[in-house]
Amino acid sequence: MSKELDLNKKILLVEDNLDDVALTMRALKKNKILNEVIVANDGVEALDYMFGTGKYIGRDLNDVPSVILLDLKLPRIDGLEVLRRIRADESTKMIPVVILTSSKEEHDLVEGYTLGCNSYIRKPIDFDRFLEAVNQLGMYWLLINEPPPLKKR
Amino acid sequence: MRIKTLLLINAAFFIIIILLISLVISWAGQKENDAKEEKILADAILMDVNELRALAFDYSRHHEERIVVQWTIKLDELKKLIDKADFKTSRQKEILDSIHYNIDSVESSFSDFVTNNAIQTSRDTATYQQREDLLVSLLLLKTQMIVLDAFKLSEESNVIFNMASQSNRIIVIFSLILAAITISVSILIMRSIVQPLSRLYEGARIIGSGNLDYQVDIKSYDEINRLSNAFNQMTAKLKERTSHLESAIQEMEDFAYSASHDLRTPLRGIDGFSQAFLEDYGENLDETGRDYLNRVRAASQKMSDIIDGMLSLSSITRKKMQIQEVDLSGLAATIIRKLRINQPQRNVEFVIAQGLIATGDPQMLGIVLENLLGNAWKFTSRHQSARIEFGEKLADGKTAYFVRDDGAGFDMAYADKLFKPFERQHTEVEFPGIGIGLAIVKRIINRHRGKVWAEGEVEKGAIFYFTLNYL
Ligand SMILES: Nc1ncnc2c1ncn2[C@@H]1O[C@H](COP(=O)(O)OP(=O)(O)O)[C@@H](O)[C@H]1O
Ligand SMILES: [Mg+2]
Repeated sequence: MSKELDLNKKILLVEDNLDDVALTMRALKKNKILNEVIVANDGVEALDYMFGTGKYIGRDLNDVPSVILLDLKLPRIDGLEVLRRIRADESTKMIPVVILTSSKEEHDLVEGYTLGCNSYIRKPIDFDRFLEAVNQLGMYWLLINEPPPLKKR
Repeated sequence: MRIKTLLLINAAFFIIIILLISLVISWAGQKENDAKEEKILADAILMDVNELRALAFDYSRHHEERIVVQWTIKLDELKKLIDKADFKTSRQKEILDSIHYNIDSVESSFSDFVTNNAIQTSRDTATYQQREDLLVSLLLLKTQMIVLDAFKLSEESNVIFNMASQSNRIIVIFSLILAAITISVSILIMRSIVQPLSRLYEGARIIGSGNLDYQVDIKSYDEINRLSNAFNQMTAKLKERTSHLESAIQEMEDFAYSASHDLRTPLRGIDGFSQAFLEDYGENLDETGRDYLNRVRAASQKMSDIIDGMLSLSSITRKKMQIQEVDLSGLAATIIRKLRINQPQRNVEFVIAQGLIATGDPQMLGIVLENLLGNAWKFTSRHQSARIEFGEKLADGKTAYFVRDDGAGFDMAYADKLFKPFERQHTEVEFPGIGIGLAIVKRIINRHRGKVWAEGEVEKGAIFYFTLNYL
């Protein structure tokens, strides 16, 4: 499996909780998803990365992450707003986004939005289920799907 | 005008009318009586005069001394009668004066007559006879005049009597009309009280049934108006207090929700890192060490279930209700199908009443039936076979739905505790669960303004009832 992975493709993980970051990284590693993971600790940082602003000024915007793992509850700009801005921009709107929810209510909330996101994972406390979800995610987005074609700026 | 003043005015009016009526009646009665007496007097005078006339006539024929005595007695009687007479009108007084005058002249005429008779023996008969004829005719004439006067008097009294009874009648009729008016005014006042009162009653009912925006609209300037203003103020205050309470509850609910929600994050850490520890370094631990770590994971799993329970309990309160007709029998059938698919090996007979339609939130009522039927399914699992029934029956005149089973049952002494969150009557080894289901059921039934209660007997089974008040 791992041989087929395009290791040049990066994963953007938007997550403020460092435990969740560590557990997600471990789950990815355990599932042999060895792609580079960029971690943004809040919504502002995520948007800076995506649009080459702030801390990421001058970043090569052709280097688009192949998938974004997005937590909903974030400091400063929350997950839904991040999603909205990514979807509003021509150059980023095709990137698959997986939303990490931590309750059924959050899940319902996201479903209420017609933001056309691609998947949800309810952040499971049961690590087994989490692994399963991430594994499926890796298989699905990084292996089976061709990354969406880039639109040059 | 104030109702009090209106009532006072009306009462005063009524009293005045009654006084007036009694005054008039007694005055007219007095008048009538007087007139009657006067008439009797006039008639007596008339009779006496007639008798005097007869005596005078008698005397002229027989010239007996006895008749003179009788005449004198009668005349005295007549004089007394006339002295006694107390007539009021000027006309009566005039007539009486004339009678007086005529009596005097009759008296003198008669005495002349008698004197003439006395001297008769000494004078010649022709002159005497001539004189006597003259005196007799004079006497008759005078008495005739008195008779006429007496007639007039009697007539006059008659007129007065008639007038008095006539005015009496008129006044009684007039008073009756006034009384009728006051009674109608009283009825109007009653109406003006009763009508707004029933509107207040109507308002109280509407507000009592939960519509705190309702305002009673009564346009008047009396006490009822003040009452309805106070009533509306009270409703406004009630609404204010209710919304205060509601927002306080909302705050608590929000807190419980976000606290439960946020507890998930550290719990995820505890569970996740225990597992990572176990997987990555488990070989360096002995059996006891690994057992401890497994217990950490089991405990966090349990905590996760409890948090899920709290979240679903709080979501019941936060959820907006959508009231519509709900096919309870259909819902029950679907739930039973799922139960059977999960544990096909179980031998359970289901008896479901058909066509049970209720009014409520379909999703919430589904949760109620899921919990009650799920419990019945679970608490019969230690018996070889089981029978579970869903139906309706009347309890206190209301339709109560029930789920009955013949499973483990419970001790009635703890019947109320069952509905409290995380209260259980059975151990987790016997029957797994965290004890949130019935608490959720109770909340849902409360939101439907209904009641839920249970009956049970250990090892005989249990029966759970609920009513719904969204009708
Ligand atoms: N059908 C039943 N028969 C006997 N006991 C019951 C039944 N339903 C509920 N109970 C008792 O009420 C308790 C609370 O029920 P519930 O709130 O649904 O929690 P749980 O199902 O997780 O135990 C149960 O633990 C059990 O002791
Ligand atoms: Mg239960």
